[in-house]
Formats: sequence, structure tokens, C-alpha cells
Amino acid sequence: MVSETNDVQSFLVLHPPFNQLKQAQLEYASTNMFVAFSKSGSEITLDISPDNANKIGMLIVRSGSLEIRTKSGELVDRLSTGDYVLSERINRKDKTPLRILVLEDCLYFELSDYALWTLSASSNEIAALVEHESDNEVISDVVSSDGDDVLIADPVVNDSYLSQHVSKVMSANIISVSPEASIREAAELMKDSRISALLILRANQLVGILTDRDLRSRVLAKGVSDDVVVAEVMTMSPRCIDADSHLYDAHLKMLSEGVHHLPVTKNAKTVGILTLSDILRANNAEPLSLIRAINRADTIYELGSAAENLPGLVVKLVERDARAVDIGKIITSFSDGITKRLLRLAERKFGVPPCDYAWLAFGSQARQEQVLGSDQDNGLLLPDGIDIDDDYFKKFAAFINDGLDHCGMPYCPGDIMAKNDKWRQPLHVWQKYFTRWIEEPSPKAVMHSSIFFDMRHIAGNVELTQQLRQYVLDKAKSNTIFLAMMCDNALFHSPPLGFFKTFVLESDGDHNQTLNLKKRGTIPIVDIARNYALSASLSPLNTIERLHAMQDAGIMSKEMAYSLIDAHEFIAGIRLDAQGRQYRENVEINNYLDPKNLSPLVRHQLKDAFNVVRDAQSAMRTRFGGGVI
Amino acid sequence: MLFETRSQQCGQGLVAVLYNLYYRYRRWRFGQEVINTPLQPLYDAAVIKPSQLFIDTRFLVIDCEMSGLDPSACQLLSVGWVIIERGRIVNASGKHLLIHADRGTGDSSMIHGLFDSNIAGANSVATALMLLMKQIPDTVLVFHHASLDIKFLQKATIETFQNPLLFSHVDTMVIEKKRLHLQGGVGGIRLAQCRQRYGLPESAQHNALADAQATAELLLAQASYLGRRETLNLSDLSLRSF
Repeated sequence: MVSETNDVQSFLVLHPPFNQLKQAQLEYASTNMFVAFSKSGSEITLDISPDNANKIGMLIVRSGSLEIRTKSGELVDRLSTGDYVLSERINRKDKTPLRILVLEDCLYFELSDYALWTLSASSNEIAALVEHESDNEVISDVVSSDGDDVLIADPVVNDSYLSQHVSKVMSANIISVSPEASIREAAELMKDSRISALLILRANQLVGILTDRDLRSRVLAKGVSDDVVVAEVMTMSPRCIDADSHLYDAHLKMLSEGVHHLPVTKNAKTVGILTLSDILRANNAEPLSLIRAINRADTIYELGSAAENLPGLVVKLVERDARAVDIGKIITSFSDGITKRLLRLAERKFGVPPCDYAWLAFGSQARQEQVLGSDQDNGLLLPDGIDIDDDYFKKFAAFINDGLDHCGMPYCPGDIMAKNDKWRQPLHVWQKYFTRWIEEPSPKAVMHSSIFFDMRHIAGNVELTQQLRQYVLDKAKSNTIFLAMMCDNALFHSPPLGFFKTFVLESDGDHNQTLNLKKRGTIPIVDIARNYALSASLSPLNTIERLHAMQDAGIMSKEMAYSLIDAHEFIAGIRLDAQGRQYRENVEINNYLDPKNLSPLVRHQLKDAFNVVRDAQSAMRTRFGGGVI
Repeated sequence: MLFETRSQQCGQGLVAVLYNLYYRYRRWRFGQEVINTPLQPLYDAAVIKPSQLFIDTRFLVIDCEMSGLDPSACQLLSVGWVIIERGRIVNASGKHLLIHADRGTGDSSMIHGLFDSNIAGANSVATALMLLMKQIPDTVLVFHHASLDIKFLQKATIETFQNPLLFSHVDTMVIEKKRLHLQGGVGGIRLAQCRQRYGLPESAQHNALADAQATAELLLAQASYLGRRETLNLSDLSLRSF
């Protein structure tokens, strides 16, 4: 006979509690499994009517992911491949049943209740599971994939904010045009009102919606002229949400429909619009309390314990599908807050500073693109023409740097910190540094440039910073050799795509066969944006804002700019996702990712994103590289 | 665009009608000859209506491995199937029948891993077909790329039992083509490519049973995207009566 184990059995044998079973028990379990599929956004109901012979005892996730929530929308658990849940947990005695919602297309196995009990008679592991479940009335207790019981009562995952009503969170200011308006008029209105979606009303009746994405995919990508009427490109009869629904339902609807905007209706009348960022903002209560804790801290230790809440907050934001760019800004706003608080504490400790100063952040903090565990890059800018009491500022800077390290922003491995004498200098010395980097670009200088040219004022005298920044922007713009050198440096990190569009994996250090998402994905886009921004003296620092500015200034095509924005968002999102997982699994947080952990669809999209980066790199090479070097 | 879609739909409606006429013709043409043969229950069974609900339908998802692509020169090596009832794959129903071949397995053994030594001691083609026929009445067969498998099954049945099988079927490849066409998308329609589109896991093995299971999972995924569970019917799945 051909050796054959069926897929169900070969899957079960790898996953607890079934990996504990003997061969005969395993075969019994396998023959009593039923395989089912539910698409994302749908809800699974387990048939447990007592008169049904096939009453379901247990559900095991084969692929995709599920969420278990209470009726009021509170998250109880998330399940993915290999995780399971007993139906007794869902259909709780004397309580309203829990809901099982499908997050990602899910293939799952159902084991009949009868088979589960039969197995529990012969297997201690299954018996323990079943007994445990019937004893246990605490809903916050979860069975995770490694079989351990994990308490999830952690306040971090308590997201009751989702049970708020839509009407509380939506924006009630209805900005709309008629379907006969031109695309240009609509786009101008969106730009002026700074909104990402426009409602299309005819005689006060909602007939459609026009979003940023529609403009991208149905207008720009198709080459539709902007004097065509909106009706041609809008999304007709969009999905709406009732003003009295819970935010949770709105979020699920967005997820299942793949949209970020929902018109809100009440008694068949359009009363507002709800966006994904509105939902995110509704949750701002928690970040706010963290900021309060930071601003009240009186010692480094109090500050440190406040900062410990940050990773949990970030994980939660990631789980709620917040945009990567928003998460970067949120993390950075905490870093800024902690820095400012430390400066206050330092002034309190060492006395009033002897002269003005400006505290500068460089690199990712300057660009507002920090992730968890980003190291600190900072410097101290002092005024010209006065005697500087460096003893004071040396202690002062060391205090801040130590404090930041204590609060989860480790020391810069390249020593770019204000406590280093070199980066604690008066204006004219800083100007000399930049002049040298720009006019005599050596590889080392270029490496420094990519950090220092992203510079943001954090605290102190803002005029000092502005003087330095203006000086640098003017200097860099006209120096083509410098720009070519920077371009060369940016091309050094290429997207990890092989000849056959397969991933080229890193094979260094401990991270065998993984993808470095920062080096291969984020940095190239950041570098591209910086180069273009420097070449045109654009003032934004954030990569997304730079890309927008580049497109506005006409130095990059709209298609390229938007593709890069999407690619950046996508790669950053995956990176955050992976880091959230690392945080939950309590392992070192880094930028490495095993492509095997991605679903095929995501892998495919990731390749597309890398392709966009590669195209943009070759466009940049043509623009700046030009064979100068 | 609208017109195109509509004509496509008309076209498909017409194809379904023709298939159905052909089915009725065969039933009439061979009906008398199969009396008192193992084929009789297939011809006696009621025709499955396109309005029958997906959830109420028993499906037999089937995959055949052959020694080559040409039915006149090659033969069945193995048949695998699994049953779907009430929208769920009944894992215990999985069957994998190896068929004794008299011409040797040839080149395709590289793909299937079925060498002559494995096949020796396997079922005769008659036994395998008898077991299959027992499953067919009141059941809709499911294939991925039906035409090839059907050609081989019919040829083997005619050789063994003088008359063809009579059954209704759906084809996950046809369903996927239709879906891709309606979405204006492009993409591969091989089994693994279709599965990828629904995020289904890569299957580790390549044999008739594993492929039948993989096809069954694909059908469940397609069904969940085609309509609501409670109302989805067989015409939504482009039922063909053969």
C-alpha cells in the first residue's frame, strides 16, 4: 500500500493536545473530524442542539484566524492555526453565548462532542481539558496554542471602547458633492477639507462615496480625466452603518468589506461618516492616560514604569489595525514626551541652564517613525558667541541619555547622543559638520548624513534649530555630488527579490533564513524620500509627508508616490505585526521575519511592495546617480 | 461591460440547459440497457435540481490519477474521494483506491509516487468503479478540471460495464474561472493556485485522496464566497448534469 496519512491527521499530530495521543486515538480523532470553511467577516455558530448526533464538542483552526468576543463586543480570545476552543466555552452555562467571528478566511475542523467525550475516557490530556473547561467559569482564561493556560484579563486587551455607539465617534460634519460634480471639484473639496472620503448626495439622498482609494485606483491608475463627473468613478450605494450600532460592528464591517469609511445613517437619513481613524481615535483615552503619567513622573523610575506600558499599548494598536504611520507617530509622541519630561527633571536637578539650548532628535525620532525599541539619536545645539559652561551641559545631557535608556530607548550604538562631546556643540560647529558632510562626502559622511539630515526640534529655543535647518537645506539642495552620493548609499539596501521573484533571505547571525524588513523594506523608502526632499528643500521629515510633498512639488509622479506610500504602509504594518507577536511571545523584539509565517496572500503583496521599491530606486538612480560617481 | 457579463450569463444558462438535455438523452438512450447491472441505481435516481440548496446536498469530491493524459492510450491508476455533507467535509469518508494496471505506470509515476510495486495487489478497475457507483445516487460529484477525469472514468466504465455512468457534477475550476471573470481579475486556475487565493494551506501530498480533500476544501471556500449559506444553490455552483 502507498503510505498515507490524511492531511487532518498529519496536522493533528503536530498540535496539542492531539500530539499527546496514541496512534489509535489519533486515528479515532481524525475520523471524527469535520472540515469547514468560513470567509473573513462572517460569524461561526456551533451546532450544539442536544438532539443532534453530530453536536460539536471542539473547534480547531487549520488556517486563518478567529476572534472570540462577548455579545457586547469585548475581546476574549484570538485563535490562529493550531489553536482550539471547546464549544462549552462558547455556549456557557447560564450565560449568553460568546460569538466566534472570522478575522481571516478560516479553514477549521470540528470534532463531535461524542468523540471528544470518548477520547477523554482514554486520554488524560483530553480529560484534563474537558474537566478544566466545565469547572471553569472565568471567561478571561484562554487556551493558547502551546496548551498552557494564559490569563488574558490583562487590562491591555480589555477594549470595551468598542462598545461605544457609532454616533459618539463619527464625524457629523457632512461634506458632500452632487454626482454631477467633476472629479477635480471633488478632489479639491477633499483636499481643502482635509478628508479622505466624500459623500455623494443627490437631493439629500446618499448615492455613493468617493474615497482616496477610488481616486487612486479608478481615476489615476485608469488615466480617467479629471473633468469626468464623480458619478462615473464613485462607489455606488456604499455599505452604511446605523448610528446606534456599536463601534465593534462598524469595525467588523470595515474589516469584512475591506473599506475604511462607512457613511452613518439614522432613520434612512445620512447623518455622518465613520472612518477607521475615528475608531482608532475613540481609543485615545489610553494613550492620554499614559501621557498624563509621563508628565506627572517626578523621578526617572516613575518615568520608567510609565514607559513600560508603551509596548502593550502598541500591541493593542497593531491588533486594531491602526495604520503603521499613525503608530509611528504615537510611539514618537511618547518619546518626545519622555524627553521633554526628562529635560524638566534635569533642569530641576542641575538648576536653570546657563544659556539657551535646543534639544534635537535625529533619525527615526525626527521622522516620527519610531518602532518599539528604536534606539536614541539626539544632540544638543548651543548658541554662538557666548561662553558655554560645558560642565553643566555634559551632566545635563548624560542625565537625559541615561533616562531615555532607562525608559526603553537604548543608547545609540553609533554614539550619536548629546552626552558625546562631539554632538553637544554651538551652532557654528554644527554648521561646519554639515558643510563638511555635504562638500566632502565620504562614505562615513554619507552614513552620518542619512541620520543627521532628519533633524527635529524637541525642546528649548526653536530659533536655534531653525537656523541650522535652513542652513542645511540651502547647502544640500545645490550640491549634486552630495545628492549622487546619498543616492548611491540609498541603493545599497536593495529589496530582497531574487531573479525569479523569490525572496532573498538574510543568512547572517542568529537570524538564518529571515527577511530584514527594516533594512530591505523600510530604509530604502525612507532613503528615497529623504533624497528627493533634500534635492528640493522640502521641509517635511516624516516619510509619508515627504512623499506627499514630493508629489505636490511635481518631482515624483503621483503613481510612484502613492505606490511608495502604500508599500511603506504595508511593509511597516507587517513589521509592526511581527513585533507585536514577538512582544506577546516574550522574545527579543527585532526586525526579522520568517516569510513562512506569512499567509500566501500577504507574501504575494509583500513581493509587490518590494517591486515598487525597486522601481522607485531605479527611477532615483536615473535622477541623481547619473554616473557622477 | 454590462452587456458582456449578461451575455456570459446567458451563455452559461444555455450550456446548463444543453448539459441537462444531454443527460436526459443518455438516461433515455441507455436506461433500458442498464437494468439489472450495477449501473441501474444511477439511472433510477431522481435528477438533481439546480435549485437544490448547497447545504442540503451530498457531494462526492473525487480525483483520479492516470498514467497519462490520453484516455485512449492511458489508464486510471488510483481514485480518491471524500464526502461533503451539510457543508462539511466528513473526514472519515475519505477513500483512496489504487487500481491494478496492466500496462505499467510509465512516466507519471514520477509525479504520483505510484510505482508498479505499489499497484500490484490493488483493486481491479471493476471493484473501484463498483465502490464509486454505490456512492453516486442522490449525490453531486465534484472535480477540479472535470473533463479529463470524466473521460477516463467513462471510458473505464464503458469497457467494464458496457454503458456510461450517469451523474451530475460541479467543477471547482469552472467556478473559479467564472469568479475571476466576474471580478475582471486574472490568475492561475490550477488547484494550488486557486487554493492560495482563499488562503488555504499548502497541501503536503500529491495523491488522489489528498487532491480530492484539497478540492473539497476549495469548494467550501468558493461556496462561502458565492452566497449566503442558507440560500446558496447548485445553479450558483454551475451544476452540470451529465
